[in-house]
Amino acid sequence: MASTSQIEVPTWNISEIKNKNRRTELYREMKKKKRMAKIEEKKARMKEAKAKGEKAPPKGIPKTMENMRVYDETVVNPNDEEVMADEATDETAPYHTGQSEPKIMITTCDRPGSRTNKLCKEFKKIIPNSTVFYRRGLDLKKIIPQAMSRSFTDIVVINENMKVPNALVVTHLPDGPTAHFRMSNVKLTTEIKGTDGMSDHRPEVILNNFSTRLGHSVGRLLASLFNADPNYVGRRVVTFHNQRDFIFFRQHRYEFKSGKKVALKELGPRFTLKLRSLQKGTFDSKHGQYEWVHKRHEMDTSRRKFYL
Amino acid sequence: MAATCAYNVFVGAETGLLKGLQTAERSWQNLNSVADTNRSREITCLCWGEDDKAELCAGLRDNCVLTFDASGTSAKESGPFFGASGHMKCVAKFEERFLSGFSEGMVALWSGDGDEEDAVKIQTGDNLWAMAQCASERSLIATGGKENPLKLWDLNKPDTPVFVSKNVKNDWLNLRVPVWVSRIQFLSDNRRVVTGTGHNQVRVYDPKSSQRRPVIDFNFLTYPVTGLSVCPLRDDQVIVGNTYGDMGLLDLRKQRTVQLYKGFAGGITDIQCHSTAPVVVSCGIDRYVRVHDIESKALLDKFYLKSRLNCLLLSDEWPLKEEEQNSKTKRNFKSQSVKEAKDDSGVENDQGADDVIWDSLETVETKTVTKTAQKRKAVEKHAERNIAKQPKQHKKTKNQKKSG
Repeated sequence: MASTSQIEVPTWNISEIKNKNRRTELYREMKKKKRMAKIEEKKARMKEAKAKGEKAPPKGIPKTMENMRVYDETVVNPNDEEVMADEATDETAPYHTGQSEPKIMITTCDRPGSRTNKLCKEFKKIIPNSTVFYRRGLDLKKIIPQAMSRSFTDIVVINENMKVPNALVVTHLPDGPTAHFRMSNVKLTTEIKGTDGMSDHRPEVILNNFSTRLGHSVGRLLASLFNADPNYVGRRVVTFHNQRDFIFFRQHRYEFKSGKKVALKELGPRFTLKLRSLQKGTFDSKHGQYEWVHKRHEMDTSRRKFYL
Repeated sequence: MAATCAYNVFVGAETGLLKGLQTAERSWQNLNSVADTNRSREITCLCWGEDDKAELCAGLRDNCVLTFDASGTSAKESGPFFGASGHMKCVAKFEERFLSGFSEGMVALWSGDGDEEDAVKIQTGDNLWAMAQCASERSLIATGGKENPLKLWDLNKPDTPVFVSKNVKNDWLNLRVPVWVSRIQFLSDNRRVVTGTGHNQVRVYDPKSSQRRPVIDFNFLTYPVTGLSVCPLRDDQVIVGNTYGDMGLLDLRKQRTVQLYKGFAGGITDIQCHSTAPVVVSCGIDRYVRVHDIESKALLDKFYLKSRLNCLLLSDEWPLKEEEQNSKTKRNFKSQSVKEAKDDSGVENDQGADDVIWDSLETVETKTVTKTAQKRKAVEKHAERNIAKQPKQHKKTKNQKKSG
């Protein structure tokens, strides 16, 4: 602390100096002094820590967006009787209680580009018991009853703009919910270095940081695309990692090198999802009820407010 | 004011729970336990039992009615009503009997003691979505639904409807306009009926007029209307909400939106304006109950109630928060405080109370200048200036030139 008091901060306000050369010079000098003081302070702290050993003052916790998050009352408490009862009987409950086996229909927008087609094929590999259908210009609302009669449990639609896949719609059958995501940063397996081919074992699913009530609903919907009982022989893991409301999708194969070390091999593809809306019921953008809609101008008022 | 009860807002949830809110203390409670309820016993509708609001009735999805007293402590179960197919959509009380609307179109007046012999049954159409009871003439009800136009019924004469509305004219392609009445309310004159539709229209019907088509018909944004409440404090204004989470104050005479309320994350399921305080309470499937100030649009309060919410009921009183009671200059509750002043000076006669209100108002001096008067003045001024500046000759030459 003593070092900070040594900085000779000019008594006048630098920005009031009219000569630009002089002003910049003084400013640069001031900056340098401040930086040096900071380094000195850090060195002193490290020295102190080294000297005191275990008795040293604890390290400060860095401020991040996550730990400065705006308080959210909807964060689910696992001991909450009411929320647990609500979740135990919601629309995706038959999957989570093991009453229904997932059977997924994958389709695209009309006339998909090659990139979307490739992503579709990768989706088919990722999700067990899934089938890719060519859209044939059919309305999604007309597809839903057909899919229900063929006992599909979910429909996944990949939409694109200018031949780039940019949206994902996931509809759970028969009574919803429906989630609409924006998809970005799509990297196909071939575009990622050092990937390996994936086996057709049922993957394990990791859902990270889905903490609020809305996050739970979305997480449960995403989980219901995959079988509840993974085949551990395949060592294949699918991850949906939520960070600041962006959901990152990654797929890996793990290998235990020793008791402590684990090697990860990425299997691809990669993409990022951002929730746009969650609807009650199957896909019906006109007459369906929205449980949550991302309203940019109303909701994005604080950078530290997260919804998932 | 009515006797103070423990809660001033009641909310019915999809999980079958009835929640009581005390808005001034920002507290809420479940009035029935989680163990007793499930999704098949979802509360679809709520109504007050009697005129003094001492008890409230909750219509359940399995066609039972639960009757609570206003403190929310004891519940009495009636039914289920077996005489109708579909589930209960709306409930009301009429002459100590339950008046229920069912999703397949039947409206039944039943006593709830298990004897369905004497129940009055009205088949109103195919899909019932909404039912409303007239506040002054309680035997008058309005029904409507999907492909089921608005009809008015007199419960004393259940065979034929009093009024059947007619669909609007075909559109500009000469195609039939689909019917989907999703919400019904009687306007405060107890004569006209306002409806919200699944095709985002707001319509007003006047049964006393010669016209069976709506007398007022306009659109509110682009999503189906799922909440409708008449403003008791403002003539011909209603508050409307939709499935997307938009809520707006509409003026029926101007046929347009006055203002929109903010803060919604999901679809609105029910809206209620308070009878005396200038507040509007809304609930939605985003699991929140929100309280807005009608005038200033401010979001006064919101409550996270953990379940998707279906319906809402307000008591007559609206207790103020402590800080609001302390600050007398609070703009939001001006009319409320005026009313309280009226209540305090109970000894005074009406004339005296009126004087209090008149004294509190500012005198506004109007200076009405009509457009024509303004124009005339301007012309006179201009003429004066011309006369002062220019000799008559110039004018003459100009005229000569024109004529030439």
